[in-house]
Amino acid sequence: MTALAEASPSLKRRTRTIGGRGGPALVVAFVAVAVWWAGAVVADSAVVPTPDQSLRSLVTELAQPSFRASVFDTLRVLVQSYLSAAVVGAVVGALLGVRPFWSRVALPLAYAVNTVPKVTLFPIFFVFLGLGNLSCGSFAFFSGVLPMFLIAAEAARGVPQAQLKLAASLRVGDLRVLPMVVWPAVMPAVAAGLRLTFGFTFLGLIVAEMFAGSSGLGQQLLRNVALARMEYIAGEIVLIALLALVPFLLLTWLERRISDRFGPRPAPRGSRP
Amino acid sequence: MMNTDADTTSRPAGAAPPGAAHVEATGVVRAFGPVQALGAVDLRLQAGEFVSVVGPSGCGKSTLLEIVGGLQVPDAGTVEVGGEKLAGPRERTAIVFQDSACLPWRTVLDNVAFPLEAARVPRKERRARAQELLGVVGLAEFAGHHPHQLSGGMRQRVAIARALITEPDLILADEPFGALDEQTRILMAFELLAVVERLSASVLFITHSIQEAVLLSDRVLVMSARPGRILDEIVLDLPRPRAQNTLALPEAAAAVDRIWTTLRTEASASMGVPR
Amino acid sequence: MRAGRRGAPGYLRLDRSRAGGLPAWAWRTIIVAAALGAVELTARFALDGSYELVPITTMAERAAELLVDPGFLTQHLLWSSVSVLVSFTAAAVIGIALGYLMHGHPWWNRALRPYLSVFYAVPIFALYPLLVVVFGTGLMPILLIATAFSAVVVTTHASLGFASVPQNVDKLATAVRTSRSQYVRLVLFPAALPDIIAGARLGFAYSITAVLASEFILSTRGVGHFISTAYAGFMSVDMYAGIFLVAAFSLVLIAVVDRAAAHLDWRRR
Repeated sequence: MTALAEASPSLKRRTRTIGGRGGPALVVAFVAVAVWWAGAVVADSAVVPTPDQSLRSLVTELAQPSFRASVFDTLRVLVQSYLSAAVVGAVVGALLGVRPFWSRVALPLAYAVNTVPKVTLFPIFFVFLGLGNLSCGSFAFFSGVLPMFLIAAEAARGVPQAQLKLAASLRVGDLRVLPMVVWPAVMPAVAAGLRLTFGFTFLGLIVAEMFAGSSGLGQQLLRNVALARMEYIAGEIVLIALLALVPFLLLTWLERRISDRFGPRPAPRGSRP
Repeated sequence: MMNTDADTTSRPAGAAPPGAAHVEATGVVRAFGPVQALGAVDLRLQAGEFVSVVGPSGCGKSTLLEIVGGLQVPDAGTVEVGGEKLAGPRERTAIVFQDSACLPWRTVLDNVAFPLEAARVPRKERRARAQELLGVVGLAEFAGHHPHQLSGGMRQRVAIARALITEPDLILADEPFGALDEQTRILMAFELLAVVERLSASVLFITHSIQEAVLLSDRVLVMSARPGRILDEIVLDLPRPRAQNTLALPEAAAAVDRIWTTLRTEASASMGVPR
Repeated sequence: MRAGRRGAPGYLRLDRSRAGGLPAWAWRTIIVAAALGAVELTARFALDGSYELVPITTMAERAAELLVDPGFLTQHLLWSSVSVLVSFTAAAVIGIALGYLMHGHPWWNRALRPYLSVFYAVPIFALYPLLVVVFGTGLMPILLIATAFSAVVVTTHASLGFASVPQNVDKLATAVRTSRSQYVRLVLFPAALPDIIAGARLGFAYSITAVLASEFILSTRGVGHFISTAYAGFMSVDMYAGIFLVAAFSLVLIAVVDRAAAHLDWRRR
């Protein structure tokens, strides 16, 4: 639901036109850093590190093999869980979406499961899978797969009836209609879904790592909380933000390419809030 | 505009001999749940005949067309096309949809070639055919464009070229020009007429414009408000080729008046106005 | 080309009212019952009393006990509810105000838009440990993180809603010379209402998620903390009862919000 509303095309369009004129956004970034810096200087304590201290401690940490291992751990699990969530969600969603009756049966259930805060369920992952990358990755997968599934299912439901009638009048079979009409028609929505799913998956992974405290960047964060090393925490947050931004920008670019290539995606038929 | 003189369209082989019943629908009934969409309807189209159906909105015109196209199965009644009982969409029937049904991710050329791709015609051959037909509808230089780069009229021309590429002997057009402005739709109507006359295909043409129906058709069927039934049949013995001034002929004017009188009560009924 | 196939292909069947003789709601019931039954039976017989899974009935019983346990109510449930309510209310106010600001001032729109679109790509919970060090493990860090997490989705939807006034309606409003306040009251807010409601509904769900997640990670009270300590102490009945409660609460609350929203949303009338 979340994802569907956020992926709305009009919103996307506006983001695009405004993203080009970045002046005001840069001002905001500049002011934010300035406020952080000024606040740190005024507080003048170990509690609030300056941006400069934070970056220096990040560099120090990155020099340590154990820290680098944590970063790579997180990245590896992130890539695995994200890719599987995206593929499974998109394929299963599209297969369900082209079946009107089964969509009506299953989608309300999926929406209901989606309203339950997913974090509540993650102790279950640890109970069954133990603390570690397997459970963290499974939880990250779970956080991403449901939104992707819902986006793909709604998009497949929204394939214009006229295009399906055209295919039917040309006697295109039940299977051939997928590559000829359905896949291309859902591509733009799936591209938007890929971008949103990434955020959900990464969030799920970091939260799980913090809860489990056994590996990855989340564990590094918690370790530094115990040691009250603020400049390290701040540096790690900057690193996490950078790790999120790079794929986000790539996926935004991909989404733009796809919607240029496959045309604007059709509005979902029964677009629910 | 459409290059109607070009001899680039090949004539379909083996069109049914004129005079043979090309479409024969008898007692066709269709309901959607509790809603009776189509009362018992009989419909006959001679080969090469251009028949229009006019009626108030929601009267089941499109349902009738989709039944003849094999997209819907009637609850009762039989449909025969070309002497065979209809079982699903037929190879030599082409449908032109109201909103052009262009696939936005395909180029104009690939949209026109789509039916041949569905029929597994090799890529090179189908593209050559599509390029040829784009010439016929005057869009040759737009082959590489995408549908959203075209105007509504041009998109509808793509749809017509796409319908012609299979060399159909029956064309079903469901308000094909409904979304166009008045001038464009008149021009497009003449272009369509010129093309189907050369193909000698039969046409079932759904429209809500009385003038359009009279201008184009050999015969006009008037349908009632839901459940749709045929109320009146007007045979138009107007000279061909048709032109803008055809409508000024007394016979055409009389036909327009007769259809409008029949439709008026039906249209009011479908708007909820008491008769 | 295959010929002589019977009727139109399956993907065109607009819809059907039943499959296998059963309507959609019956299938839904069967699926839910089968899922619950599978959990119940697995827990009861296959795992047979191990701590990994407890039967649904046990979860429900323990959840009912917790609901009348004053310790649980005041220590955890009340604490979490207050966190959710306060952070959601703050998020709604901030979100609508920011959306209005962005609608009225293009500069702010351009300044904030990129951050709104990137916000949920960055796992903002990474900030939570930092807030804990600064503010201690009290209500404050939870409220801050939950408000921020929820306000952004409200903002996005509100600004979308304010921008959704149809041009013709704008022209009409000018033609009948509405004052600024009349315009806001009679045109802008009613037009934006469905989007604001959709945003607020999501914001509410986001508040719950954020509060629980923070309570899981580091806290001294709250339902999230209760579940987390039960997990750490291998008290799986308590853990599953907590999860059961949260799931039931959020399903019921969202259903209530949906009902209310359906009355307010002119697009769904």
